[in-house]
Amino acid sequence: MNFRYIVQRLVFAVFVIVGVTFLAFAIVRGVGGDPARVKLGVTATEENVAAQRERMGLNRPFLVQYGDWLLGVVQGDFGQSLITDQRIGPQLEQRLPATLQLGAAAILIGMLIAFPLGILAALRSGSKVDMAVSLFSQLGMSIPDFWMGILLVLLFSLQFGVLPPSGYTPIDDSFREWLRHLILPALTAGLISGAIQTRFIRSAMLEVLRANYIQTARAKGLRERTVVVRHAVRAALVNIVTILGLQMTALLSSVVVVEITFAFPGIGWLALNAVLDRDYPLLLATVFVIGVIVTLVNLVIDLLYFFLDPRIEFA
Amino acid sequence: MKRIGIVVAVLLVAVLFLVALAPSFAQDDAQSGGTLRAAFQNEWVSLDPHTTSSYSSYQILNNVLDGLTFFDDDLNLVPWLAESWEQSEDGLTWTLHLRQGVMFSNGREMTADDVKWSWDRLIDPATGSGNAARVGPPETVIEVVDPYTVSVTHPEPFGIFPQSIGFDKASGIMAPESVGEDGTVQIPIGTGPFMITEVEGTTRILLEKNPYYWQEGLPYLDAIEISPIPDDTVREVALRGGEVDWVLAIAPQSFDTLQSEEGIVVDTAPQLSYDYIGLNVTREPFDDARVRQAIALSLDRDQLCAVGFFGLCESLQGPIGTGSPWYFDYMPYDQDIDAAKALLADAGYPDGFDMELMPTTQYGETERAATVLQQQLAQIGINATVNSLEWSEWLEKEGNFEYDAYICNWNGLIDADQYYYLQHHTGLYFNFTGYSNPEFDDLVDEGRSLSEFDERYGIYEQANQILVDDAPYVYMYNKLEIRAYRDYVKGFAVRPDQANNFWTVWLDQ
Repeated sequence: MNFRYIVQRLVFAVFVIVGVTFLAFAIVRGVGGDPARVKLGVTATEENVAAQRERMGLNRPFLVQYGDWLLGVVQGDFGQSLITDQRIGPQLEQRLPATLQLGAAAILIGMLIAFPLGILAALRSGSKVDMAVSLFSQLGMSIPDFWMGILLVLLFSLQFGVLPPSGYTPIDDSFREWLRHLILPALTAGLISGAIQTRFIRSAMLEVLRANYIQTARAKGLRERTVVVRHAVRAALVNIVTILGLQMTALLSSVVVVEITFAFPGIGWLALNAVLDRDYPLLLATVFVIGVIVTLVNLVIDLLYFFLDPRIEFA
Repeated sequence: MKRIGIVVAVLLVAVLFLVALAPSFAQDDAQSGGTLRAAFQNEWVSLDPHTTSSYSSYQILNNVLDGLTFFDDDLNLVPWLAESWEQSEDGLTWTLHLRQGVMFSNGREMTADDVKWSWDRLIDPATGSGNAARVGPPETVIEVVDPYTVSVTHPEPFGIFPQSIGFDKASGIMAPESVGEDGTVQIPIGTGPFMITEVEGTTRILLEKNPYYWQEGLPYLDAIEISPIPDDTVREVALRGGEVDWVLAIAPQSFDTLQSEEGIVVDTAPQLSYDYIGLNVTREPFDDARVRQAIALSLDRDQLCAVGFFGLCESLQGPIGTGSPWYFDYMPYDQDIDAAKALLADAGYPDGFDMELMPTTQYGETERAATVLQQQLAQIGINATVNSLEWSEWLEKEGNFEYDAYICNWNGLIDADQYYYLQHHTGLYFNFTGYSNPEFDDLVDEGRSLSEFDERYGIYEQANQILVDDAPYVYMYNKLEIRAYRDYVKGFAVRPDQANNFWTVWLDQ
């Protein structure tokens, strides 16, 4: 593990992000739909739409439009939304914290569910406990995010009246309100991602528990708890971290749905609107931000490998 | 005689007593202060009244910008920023006299210059507004006569100009200083009861009381905080749990549940709207009126209303519902499957044909209606497939005549002209079906050049009959406008034109 490796990874990431934004732009342009029409709605004439297209700069060649956007980003300017006329930079600044907090809380909840359940199921493989955990895991994987969200709202907001059903309070305004607004969306995304992770952790643990060195540890008369925690879990972590990395991207798509269900003002909600409205600059900006998050998460996971298993070497 | 004198005196006293009891516009028991927390269904788009087309944007702008004329809650046209107006002998020029001493929310007085600037920007083709026709065609000349008088000269007589500028806030008056250096309007400055003080993207907007508002004692509220909550269930739970005080829309299927809920008021008004099927008359077989009539005859509109909007609607055979003064009692399309089949056979389609219905995901009720239409059309041998499109794609296909039949709604209509002219006159702005009938064109041209209701009613009655018979649109139903709020929200009136006017609202807490 060295500094050069990290720099290489980051340079590569820049190319990936440029590629991803370019692809996103090309795909959404290719699907059809016209932001000028979306903005003007059903009451737009051909002349109106033509005038709007000119104002939006949509008549320039595709590559010129993309190049302009890229130049802007290099200078730290994300441009302006075609549909709302608002500057995009401030919107990203305002919404990014909400998404990061929601994502982090969901990961935390997911792990708090998945680790104990996955390990327990692996240790009691084939028992009733294992079956119950499998059932929970299956359920969690099959329930759509928005439905889970609505169920939780009906339960905690309507039935018990303990948590707000929607909205967001910045952490600086009131920690208590921030937490109250965060719990339900994070629980929705966390329960689903936890259910999926439980299965992976169970199989990673099973694999390790059957390994020779665990049998050896047991033969040496070590206490079961020491065997599981110090040896098995630690060995299984490398596989588990890999899965968590892959899970990140799945979690991001879950976050989009959860944000809309709970009217939680994050990047995901913004991204979906951008796609529906064909708001190209906004779409590119949200894809860019999501790309940066995914890249950084992957880098952190690579570094984790090194700490978890010093034998791993990076070429 | 004496007795008569006593009777007269008693009557006079009684009349004076009743006059004293009569409700006035200002609500004596209203409390001032407080913030109304309102939840919309959709996010607003741009807040520039000249380029936006979204209802959500206009429903905010209703409280920020004033028009020169206004439709009150009973939809009578009343003077607003203009105190009076008159039309020239030749019918081409309208002169409007402005109320004096009206201030923008930035403390500057509004004059005729601001009216001219607002309307010039609206009708400028470079602005590309879809609502420019409210003021007139691009050739319209707007002149400042003096600081409180403005004249508007149209190329053709425009008899319903005072009504037209009262329809929505596209023709509201905005201060030129609203336009930023980049030419866009982020926060419009108006003379309305509230001013926009905070905008957080499209997820929160704060309106605060305009301290300079020209109507004495109004508004009652200090502020209105508006946020969108897209999910129906979550929005309703937010209202039931008291997280918000007022919601713009509820799912029609929740109507009964919410109505029976303690502490919640559900209020309705019949919309000035229609949900309809637009048939592409530039395409076979829909270029044949008999085919269009057959489709109109095959519908069971009560079933469509029951499924499409859970029965919270009134079925329609023409564009205008019974609640409007412009209602015409002309109903030629009661369901008649045999007659429909005979018309199809006449037109050369005895075995029916294949077609595509195009609803949009933007409006769930159009998708629900499409599935029912499929069944109903099958009864006359028409095999319809449903192709539901997201909004941006739908708009593009509709605008380019790339469809057989689209399903949509048209809202917020007040004057007869709005039901017929722009949608059906040959070659006009919103004529997306390609319909053209010179006789109809002459009638609606004449109808909009006149001002007298009775005279116009006769003209539109004829135009309505021609249009319904030709059936470029097949009308289905008009829906109820629904608002729900907590019972401590007072003074709110649900309006058929979908406007949410908050300046008479107060909180009884």
